[in-house]
Amino acid sequence: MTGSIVGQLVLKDLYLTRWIAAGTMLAGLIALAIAPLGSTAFYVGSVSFVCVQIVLIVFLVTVGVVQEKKDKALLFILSLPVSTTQYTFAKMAANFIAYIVPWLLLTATCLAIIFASDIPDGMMPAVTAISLYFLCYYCVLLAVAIATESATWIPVVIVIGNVLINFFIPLVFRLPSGANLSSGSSTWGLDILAVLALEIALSAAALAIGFLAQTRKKNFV
Amino acid sequence: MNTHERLHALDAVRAFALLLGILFHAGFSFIPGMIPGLWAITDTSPSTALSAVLFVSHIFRMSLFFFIAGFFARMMFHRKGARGFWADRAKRILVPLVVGWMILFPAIAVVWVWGLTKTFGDQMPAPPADLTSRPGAFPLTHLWFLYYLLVLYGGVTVVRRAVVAFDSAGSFRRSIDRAIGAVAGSGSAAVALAVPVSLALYFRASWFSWFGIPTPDQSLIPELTSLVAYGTAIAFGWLVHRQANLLQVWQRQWPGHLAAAVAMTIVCLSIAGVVPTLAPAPRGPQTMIYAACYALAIWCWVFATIGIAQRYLSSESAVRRYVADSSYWLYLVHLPVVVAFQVLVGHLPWHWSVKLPIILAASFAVLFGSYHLLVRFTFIGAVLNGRRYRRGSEPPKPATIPVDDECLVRLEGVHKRYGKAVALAGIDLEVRRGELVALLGPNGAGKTTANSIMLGLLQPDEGEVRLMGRSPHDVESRRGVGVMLQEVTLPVTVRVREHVELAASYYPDPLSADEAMAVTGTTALARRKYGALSAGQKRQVQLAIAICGRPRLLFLDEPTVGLDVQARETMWSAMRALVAAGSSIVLTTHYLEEVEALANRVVVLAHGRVIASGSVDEIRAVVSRKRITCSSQLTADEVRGWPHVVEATEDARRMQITATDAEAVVRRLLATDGALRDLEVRHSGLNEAFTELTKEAA
Repeated sequence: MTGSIVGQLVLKDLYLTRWIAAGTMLAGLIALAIAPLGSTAFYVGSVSFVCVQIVLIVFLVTVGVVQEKKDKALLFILSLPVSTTQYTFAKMAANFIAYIVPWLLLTATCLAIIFASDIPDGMMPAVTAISLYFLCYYCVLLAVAIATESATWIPVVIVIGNVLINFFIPLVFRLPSGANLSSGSSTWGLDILAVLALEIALSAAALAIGFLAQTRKKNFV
Repeated sequence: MNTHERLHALDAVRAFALLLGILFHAGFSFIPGMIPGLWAITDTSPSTALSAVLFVSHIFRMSLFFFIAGFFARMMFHRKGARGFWADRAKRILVPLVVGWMILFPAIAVVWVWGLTKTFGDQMPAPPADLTSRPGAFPLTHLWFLYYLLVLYGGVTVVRRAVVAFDSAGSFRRSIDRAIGAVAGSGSAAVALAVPVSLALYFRASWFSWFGIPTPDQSLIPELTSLVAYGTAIAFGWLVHRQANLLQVWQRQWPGHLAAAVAMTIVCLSIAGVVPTLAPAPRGPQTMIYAACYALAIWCWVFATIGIAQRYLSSESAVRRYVADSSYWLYLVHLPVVVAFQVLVGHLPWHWSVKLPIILAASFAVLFGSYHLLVRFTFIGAVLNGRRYRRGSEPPKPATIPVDDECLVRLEGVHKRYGKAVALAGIDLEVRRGELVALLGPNGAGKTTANSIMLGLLQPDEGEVRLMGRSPHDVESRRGVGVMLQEVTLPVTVRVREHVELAASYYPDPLSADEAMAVTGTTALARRKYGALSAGQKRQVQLAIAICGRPRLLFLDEPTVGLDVQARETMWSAMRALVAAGSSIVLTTHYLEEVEALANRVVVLAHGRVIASGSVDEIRAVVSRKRITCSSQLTADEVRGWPHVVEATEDARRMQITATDAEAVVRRLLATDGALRDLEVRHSGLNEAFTELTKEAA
């Protein structure tokens, strides 16, 4: 029954967020389709792509976690025969799946477009690092939303995430591997690999901390 | 404090204190500046960093242990009585002391001689003369703590007996409890406890201040400084058990205690240095400050450790349980093992950061191995830990209140505070099979808190909760429960049938969605989205969700708010049918007519306490008032001033009078108004009873 309960909870959350995921995926694909059409189109497409990523992150966490707490649905679920661990695992798994599927599709599409179009392949490492930034941002926001009861922290993390992207993009393009923008081949140096590893580690750590913090709670009211 | 519930956090703290002792001894050979011969071996790779760590660990580990020992001693005393207590202590402390010493002392001596031979060869130094010349000289070794436990238990039980004899009413003890509670609540318990300890340290002749509280391992005559320091700890532990909610206080205060502990420790290290001074501290202001800071550090570390453990280690864990069970054995036998490995690696040209992990890993491998092979499943485990595990069996579950099939939920002495606000102040409540219990009370009375605690959504600060005979956090217990909470919004885009089917999927033997909707009159809503329903319809759907798991116990929080008359009748019918089928219901409502119509039993809460409990008639009977209704030429204003009249109101046709002595008022009405008619006298309703009860409680 344990497995089926977690599965039911995951399916329920995926069902509730299906339109957000599908809608932003479509919007992201449109943004990417515009990008190779010229320099202005590249700018519009890139900015739209970043906006779509942020919308996906904020909407998923708001609908999947924050709204549930606000509506006291969390209390209702925790009064069912569901343990805190099962609930937290299901909630994180569902929200992670709801994000990772569009993220993978959009990132793969983005890299495929760079590879197949006239956009220099040298952009691939930087684009991958920027995509992973969004994954990391999502994991941190999800962990904070899961683990905190105060609504204050969510906008704080959103603001920090949105502001940091403005510093992160130029930083990545200044790295030796990221600065190779006009090259026809991509360079995956230690610098960019270290950034990618750090992003993945931070994402995993955020999820682990969020999970542990929530499952150790004894008071939910 | 319930004596049956295992205190996982304190078990962990006790184990931590003992393991810290093993770490201290394992690192002792690396402390720089030690005279060769003072320990079995002086390592060739001393470390000041490790020295600082050992200094910190040594500040509080034994005081922490004695505090916990005092706490559990009172628990044992009250569980087993004086005779049972001493029989248990004899088995678990006196026997290990005597038998353990006979085995361990020769082993320690052999290892010591081996180490000294390695250092000095044939030129072994003579033992210090004062070791054998002091009164009562006896090499207690590291088992001195068992000896002191027995001495201090004796002292505490004698004092207790005297106090009980002179304070038969208990007022003195309650005053002490209040004083301790107030001091602990203000965060200054560490300061109060540091006073006797710092004085005992400062005024000790020949105080080797770096090592803090002297280790009294060389004489059977108790050493005064150690007696004061550890006696304070054990006595305070005993007193804290009288009001174990203080553990929650320290749980809240742990960051402050930790900060203070670190600050005091830094002051101590800055005065004493990282490397020990092997000379008595001179009397003077600096030593006085050091003694005060050291004593304060002891108690700040103790409270910080307990608070952290309460916060993070209160749940049951098989690994922690194993370590806690084994820690006593580990500490008893560790010294010859640890020192043997120190001697083995002591003269190797390796860095201490390599040697110490080797010593610890090898020692713990031997110690845990010996525990598993020689103790856990044998009579030795029964002697040391009071239980002998069966091979291949799971550790026994913590003792619980016996599962009573008739009692579905029980609160015993439950307290809950939010900051300084008291939500529940020791309530007892139980709901038995087939009962519909109405929980009444004004806003803020504690109804929602009580419900949340019964459902495991809140942890009580003190007291015991059992749902279906288990912890409410246990998923199994919630399989028999249905819940309809107030102000819950379910996902609005999901259809009613989907909601019911989803909820049913969590239970082992649910009703079908059709059955649940039929019972609650929501079949017609099955295909509608939840967000499109009226408030009343949403409540009906929530009831369908609550009952779909065939609950033995149903929690309904304001179930009929927003319902029209027909929907309310349907819901009442559903409740009656559930109770008739053997389910129980905890109904929280403000509609007193609902309570009068449905409840077998009413529990009235006010200010976090149960102020009345009984059937509707019994609650009504609590209030001696009666209600008089009549048509009269008199006005309500005229009647309101009469004796025994509590309230008088009138409308166009009739006057209603609430009176404490209805007969006297009726006689006066008849005498005053010759045209009096339609006279009717009846008992006050639940409404009046509730109002009066809650007014009295205020």
